[in-house]
Amino acid sequence: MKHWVFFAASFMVLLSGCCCKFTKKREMKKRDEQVSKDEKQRNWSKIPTQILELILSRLSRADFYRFGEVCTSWRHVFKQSIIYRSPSPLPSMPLLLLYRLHLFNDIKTGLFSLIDRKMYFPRIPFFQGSNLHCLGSINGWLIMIDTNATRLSSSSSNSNHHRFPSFFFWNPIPNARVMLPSRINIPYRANWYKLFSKLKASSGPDSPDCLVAALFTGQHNIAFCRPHDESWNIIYVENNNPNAVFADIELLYGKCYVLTETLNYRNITSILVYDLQESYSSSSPPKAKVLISQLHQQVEYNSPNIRDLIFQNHQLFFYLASDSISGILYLILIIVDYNNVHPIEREFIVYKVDNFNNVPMLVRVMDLNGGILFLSHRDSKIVPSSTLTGHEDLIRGNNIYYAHVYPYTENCPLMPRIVKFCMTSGRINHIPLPNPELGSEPTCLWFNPTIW
Amino acid sequence: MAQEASSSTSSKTISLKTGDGEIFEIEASAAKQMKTVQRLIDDLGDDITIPLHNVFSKELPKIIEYYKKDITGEITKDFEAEFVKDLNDDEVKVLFLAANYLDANKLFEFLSQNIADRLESKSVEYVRKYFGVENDFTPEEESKLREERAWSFRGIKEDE
Repeated sequence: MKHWVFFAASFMVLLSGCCCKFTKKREMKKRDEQVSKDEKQRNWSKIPTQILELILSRLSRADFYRFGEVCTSWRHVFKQSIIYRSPSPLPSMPLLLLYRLHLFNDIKTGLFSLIDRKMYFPRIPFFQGSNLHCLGSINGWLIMIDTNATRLSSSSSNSNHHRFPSFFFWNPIPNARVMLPSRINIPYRANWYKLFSKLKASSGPDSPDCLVAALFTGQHNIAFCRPHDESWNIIYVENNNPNAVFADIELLYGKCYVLTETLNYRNITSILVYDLQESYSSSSPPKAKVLISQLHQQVEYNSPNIRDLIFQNHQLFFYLASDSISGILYLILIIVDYNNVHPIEREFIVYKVDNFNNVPMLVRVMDLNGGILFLSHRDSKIVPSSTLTGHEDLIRGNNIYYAHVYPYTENCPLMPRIVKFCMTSGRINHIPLPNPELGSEPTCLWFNPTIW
Repeated sequence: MAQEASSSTSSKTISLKTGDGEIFEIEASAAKQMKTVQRLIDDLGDDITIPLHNVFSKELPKIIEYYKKDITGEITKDFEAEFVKDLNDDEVKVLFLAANYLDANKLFEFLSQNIADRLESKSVEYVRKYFGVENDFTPEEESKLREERAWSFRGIKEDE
């Protein structure tokens, strides 16, 4: 990359060397003129690409785009970097995507930035029409369902035209889509947009190992697929065990982990694992294996604190999260106090699944290996702090940013709450949201837009 | 190229002559950090005054100051902050180009970061003014670009 500079430099030196004696006296006299002439010659619109690229690689996403609007030659460099996906802008903190479940065709979407704590409304409306819903996100892609897409059922002689939804990955910036199978054989008529309570992807659709797993709302079954499958695969639970209701799912290295709980009182019972990748290669449906059973004994349930809290109008929330870089599966317990006007998060307890004498068990941890966890009811993502740039406080590792819309109570309007939990100090800070004018019951999830 | 036997290179100084005819001395070990200078030394010998056609007396002392600190291993974040604190935008740009010409990698990377910092969240017009670049888009093209950029939602700082 520096060869160009060397060549130009040595060429100029040779040239100047030849002219050295000749111009020496003249240079001394016309020193000032020479300087201002050189200033004009340093025309930044004609600066070599390599230099512009170096500046580009240090810009944040927004500045990256502004770079492309400066002038035509800079725009060319900008466009080339998009085509070749290099240099890329600095990675930044995920934004909180908030949108209101459709009512009366009035969709409002907002993006909340942790950096300046402002709410932004995309100029190009996100979801046009009430038939689009966002079920999850991964690496700059939103996972969407379009409930209006009409597809004939497989038996075309049938006079009933079933409307099947369309599922797809969507990257709003280049407006790219990758379709997921739309065939999903469920034996009942579904309210499509409420079909899945959770949907997670293992990676973006541009990765060959992309797997998508979804948890059915209330039915306690899992569906999974890959972008080029013909239809979704459904795993039916063998027996409807009331003590093994599926509460959460998480993907890690081709396996789907399921957190189960009891129907009443929501005591967590076990973590199951389905080997989805193995199921694809052996073409047989995946079988559940119990990873850890009797979870409630391993969580500090037996500590008198937690038991008392439950009776004192506190609620417990459990989430699974995974770190694909370190290969660690986490279980997060959040204790929420409902005694006040609005719910207040009192404590975050984080466990990781560890092998002790070859037996998997929960181990309480006080750090995320330097990662930052972005958690909401819809998704969980762990981002290594070292890849982020920004204010020290913001990007410090071993923090949890938790966004949640609490169910409606008499005194508490349906506003999402964001809190930041520092694992090292134990402090919980509430991050106020500016009034998003999003009406009631917005859905929120963390979204990190990428340019490609 | 007659190479005279010299005492230890660490005490040897190299003479650099700027494009406007001034001469500055730097340690040979600092000169090593500027690859362009080093190549010139390799080609022309270390006894000749090295001509730097594209670097001028305004900026070379600052560059020398940076590398003086570098060879003693004393470059800290505080030093770097001090180094750029009093530089106005033009001076940073000039230093940046000079560092590129001299192939002085460390300084170049540091300054490109500094420029990126100065541009953070600034408007397109500000960036144009900063670099003295003319806007050669038509108004229609410009508004189309702004539409495409519906995704840059960082707040724009007021031009300083």
